[in-house]
Amino acid sequence: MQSVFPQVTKSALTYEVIAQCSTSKARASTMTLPHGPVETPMFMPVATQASLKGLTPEQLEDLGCKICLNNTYHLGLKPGKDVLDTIGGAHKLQSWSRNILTDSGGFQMVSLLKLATITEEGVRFLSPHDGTPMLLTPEHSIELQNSIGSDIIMQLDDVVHTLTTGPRVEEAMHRSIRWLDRCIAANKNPERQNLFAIIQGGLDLDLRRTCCIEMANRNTPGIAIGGLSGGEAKEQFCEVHVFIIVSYCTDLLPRNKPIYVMGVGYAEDMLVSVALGVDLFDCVYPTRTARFGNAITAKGVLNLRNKCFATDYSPVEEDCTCPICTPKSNGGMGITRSLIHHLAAKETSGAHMLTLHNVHYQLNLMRAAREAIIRDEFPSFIKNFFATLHGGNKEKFPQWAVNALRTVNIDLLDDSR
Amino acid sequence: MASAPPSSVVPLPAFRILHSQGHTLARLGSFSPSAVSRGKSNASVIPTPNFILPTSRGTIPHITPDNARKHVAVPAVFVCLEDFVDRNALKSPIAQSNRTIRDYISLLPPLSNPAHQIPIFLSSRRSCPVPTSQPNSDNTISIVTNDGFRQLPISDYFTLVSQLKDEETVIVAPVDLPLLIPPSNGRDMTSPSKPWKHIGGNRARKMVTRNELWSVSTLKNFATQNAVIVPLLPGISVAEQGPYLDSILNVKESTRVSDGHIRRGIDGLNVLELTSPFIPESYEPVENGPASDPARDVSLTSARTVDFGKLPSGFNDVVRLNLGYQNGPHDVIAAVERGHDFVCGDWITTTTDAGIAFTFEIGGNSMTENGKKVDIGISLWEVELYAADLSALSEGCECYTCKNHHRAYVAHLLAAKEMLSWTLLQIHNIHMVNRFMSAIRDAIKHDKFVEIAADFRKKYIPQMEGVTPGGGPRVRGYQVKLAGSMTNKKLNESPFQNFSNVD
Repeated sequence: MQSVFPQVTKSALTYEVIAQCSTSKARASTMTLPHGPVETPMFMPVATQASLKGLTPEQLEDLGCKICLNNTYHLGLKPGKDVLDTIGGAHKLQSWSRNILTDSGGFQMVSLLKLATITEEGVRFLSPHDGTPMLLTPEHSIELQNSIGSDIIMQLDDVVHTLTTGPRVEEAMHRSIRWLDRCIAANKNPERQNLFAIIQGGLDLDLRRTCCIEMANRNTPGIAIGGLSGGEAKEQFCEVHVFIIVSYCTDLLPRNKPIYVMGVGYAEDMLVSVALGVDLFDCVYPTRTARFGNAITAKGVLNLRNKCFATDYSPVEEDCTCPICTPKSNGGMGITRSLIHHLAAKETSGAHMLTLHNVHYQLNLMRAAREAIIRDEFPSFIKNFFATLHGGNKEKFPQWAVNALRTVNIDLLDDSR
Repeated sequence: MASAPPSSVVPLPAFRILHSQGHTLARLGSFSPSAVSRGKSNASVIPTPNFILPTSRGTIPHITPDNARKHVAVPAVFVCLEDFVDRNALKSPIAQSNRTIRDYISLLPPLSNPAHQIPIFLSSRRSCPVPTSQPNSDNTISIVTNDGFRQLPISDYFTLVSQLKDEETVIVAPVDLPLLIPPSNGRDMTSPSKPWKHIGGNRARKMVTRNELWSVSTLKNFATQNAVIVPLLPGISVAEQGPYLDSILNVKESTRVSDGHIRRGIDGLNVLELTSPFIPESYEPVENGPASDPARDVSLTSARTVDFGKLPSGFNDVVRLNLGYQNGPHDVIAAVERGHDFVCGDWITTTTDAGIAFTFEIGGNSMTENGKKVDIGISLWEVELYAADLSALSEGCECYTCKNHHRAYVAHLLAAKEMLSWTLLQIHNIHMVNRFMSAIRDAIKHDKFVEIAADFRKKYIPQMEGVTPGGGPRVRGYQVKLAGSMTNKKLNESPFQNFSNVD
C-alpha cells in the first residue's frame, strides 16, 4: 500500500531480522537506536520516574539492559519540561548512556482512570504536584518527549481497559488514529527520536484491522500493540482473545518494523507473544512484585515473605546467574531466600536485591529465547519453558497458551513436534 | 572455629595507641578485632578515631551488598541480635542457618581489597535501643524484636553469639540500663543531647552487680578469640561501680595466659554518653569549642556534677566505643577530643533520610568567603535550588554518586520519592564521613587536631535546620521509636487526588 504520509518515513532506527523461526512467527532481530543496538526479543524494564526502583543506572547496565522506559506523564510533572530542557534531556538527568523509550502518558488513563477525564483535545487530570487541573494533549505529550530526548517516543493514545466493550472502544480507536496524526505533526526530532504508533481497538478484530491498516499507512519507525494490559491482573478468560489480537495484528503489520506489545511482562505471556512475532515488551510487574517479596523463577513465582522460606538457605533460584543468586565464591552476593524473607517488606535493600533478580530473570529469558530462535530451536525452547514452569505436568499448561501456540504450529502438548 | 593462639606467641592487644595529641584527649590508634590473627598479615586493622555504621536487620540502610562492596567503604558495621531473633532465639532462622552473621547478611569484602573482612560489632540491642516495656532480669535481656518485646535468656545470647561470630567480630557485651522510657531516671536514648542523670540507690547497686555478671561471662566466653567490649556504666560514679570495674580487671588475669605473659581480657569500653570520666578535672574545652553549644555545656557540667572520679589506669589503653547518637560532625569532634576512638554512625543514615548531602570538610580552607558560618551540607529537598544543578553533590568529591550523578538527579529523585535518592545520598555521605575521619586522624598524627577542630567550629553551623519538607523514606525498623510509631500512621501523604473531588 502506498504511504500517504511520506513526511514520516524518516526513521532514527534500523531494524534487521537476524533469524526467523522456521515453525512459528518468532524472530530475532537487531534494532539499532541512537544510543546503541538492542537485540530483540527484548524486555524493557520500567524506570517510571527516571530511576529503576532503587537500582543505580550502573546496576541496570551491569544486568545487560540496553533500553529502559521512562514515563512522560511522570517526568512532565517532575522534574518538568523546563528542567529537562535545561539539563538536556533524560539521558543526562539519570546518567544513562543507553536507550530510553518513553510512554506517552496514555496508559495513565487506565491506571489512574478515576483521576482523569478524556476529551478529543486530550486528557484532563489534577496535578499531583499542587492539585491544579492540567491537560495532556498529543502535542504536549510529544513536546515533552522531545524534551526528554528518548530514543523511542510513543504517540498519545486513547486507552480503554482491555475488557471494555461497546462504542467507547471504537471511539478510542479512531481517536488514537487522529491523535497519531497530531503526534507525527508535533514531533520536532524525527531524525533522532522514533515515534511509534499504538494499535488500539480492544478485543474487536475489525477495529484492530482498521487501526492496523490506518496506522501502518503512517509508516512510523515502529508499531506498538496497546490496550492489552490494564494493570497486571488480567482475567484468565480473556487471555485467549488477547493473543488472537496479537497474532492478528502481527499478521497485518509490516514485517520490517519492530513490534512492541505494551504492558506485557509475565514470562508466559512474553514467550507466547514472541512466538506470535513480537519484539519488544515492558511491564512494571517484575520490579513491583519484587517490592512485595516475590521472586520470579523458572519454576514459578516464590513469595519469599511466606514463613516456609524463613529457614530456606538456598539461593533465590538455583543456578541463577544474577548478581544476588551467584555464590560469593563466584563473585556474587550469595543471597539466601532466608535473608530475603528477613528483609522483605522491612528493608528497602531487600526489595532492591529482588529487583536485581527479577529484572535479570526477564532480560535473561529474552536472551535465551533469542539464542533459541537463532539456533532455530524456539519450539523446543518454549516447550521446555512450560514444562519447567509446571513441573512437567502438561495438565497444568494454560489452555490459552496451548491454543495461541497452535496457531503458529507449536503444540505444547505434543513432544514430537 | 579458629584455635587459640599457640603458646609461643605473645598475644597482642586489640588496640594500640600510636599517637596522642597534647591538648586534648584525642589519640591516634589502630584496632585489630581478631585475637587469633592479630599481628599477622591477614588480620583486619582499623585506624582510629573512626566510625561504626549501624545496620538495620543486617543491611546498611539503602545499600545492597554489591553497592556496598563497590562503592561504600565502611570501616566497621554494627549488628544487633534483636533484629534477627523472634520468639525462640535458638530456633530463629539465623540460629538454624549454621552460618556466621557475616555470611548470613552477605557482608562482602570491599572489591578494592578482597582479603579484608569488615569488622562486625555484634551487640544484643540496637545502637539506639527502643525502650522496652519490661526491665532486664539477671538471666534475661529485654529486647524488641519483629514480634514485639521479648526476654532473651543470657545463656541463649551466648550460644547465639558463639555460633554467629567469626574472627573479625567484636563482641559488645550486653548492658543493663535503667528503663529507657523518659522521664524515668535515665536517659531517653532517642534524644541524645540529654545527659544521664545520676543513678542512685538500689538501681545503681543492681546495675553494678548485673553488669558485672554479664560482662565477666562475656569476657570469659569470648576474650580468648575475639575483641570484647564491656560497658562503662553511665550515671554512676567510678567509686560506685568499683566492684564492677575490679571484676573486669580480674578477668584479665584468668584468661589469655601464655608463656607467662598475662593479657587482660577486656579490649574496649562501651562509653554510653558524650561525657566521660576520661575528662580530667583540669580539662577545659578548646577555644571556640563546645562552649558555643549550650547542649554540650550542660553535658560537660553534669559530668562534673556526677563526679565520676578517675578510672583505674588499666583502662587507659583500651579502645573506647561511643554508641551515643552523634548530632553531626561537631559531636564527632567533641567525642574525639574526649578520647573516644569509635563513634556511632547513626547520624549518617539520619542525614541521608533527611535528603541532605554532606559538603563539609575538615582541615581545608578554614574561612568562608564572607566570614559567615556555613551549613555542613545541602538539603536536596530544595528543588528550586538544585533542579538543574549539574554539579557534584560536593565539589571535588570522588564517590560513586558524585562521579556519575549530579545534584539535579538526586533532587529529582527525592521530589519523586524514588528510593534511589537515598541510595545515592548514603553512598556519598558515608564517603564524606570517611574523608572527615581520615583528615582527623591525619591531624592528630601531625599535632594539628586542636587547630583544625577550632577552624571547623568557626566555619560550620553545627546542625542543619528544616529537614524533610517532603517526607522521607517509608518508616522502617531502624527508625521506629515505639512510642511514636503508634500515633504516626504514615510519614508520607499520597500525592494523587481524585479528579471528581474537585469542583
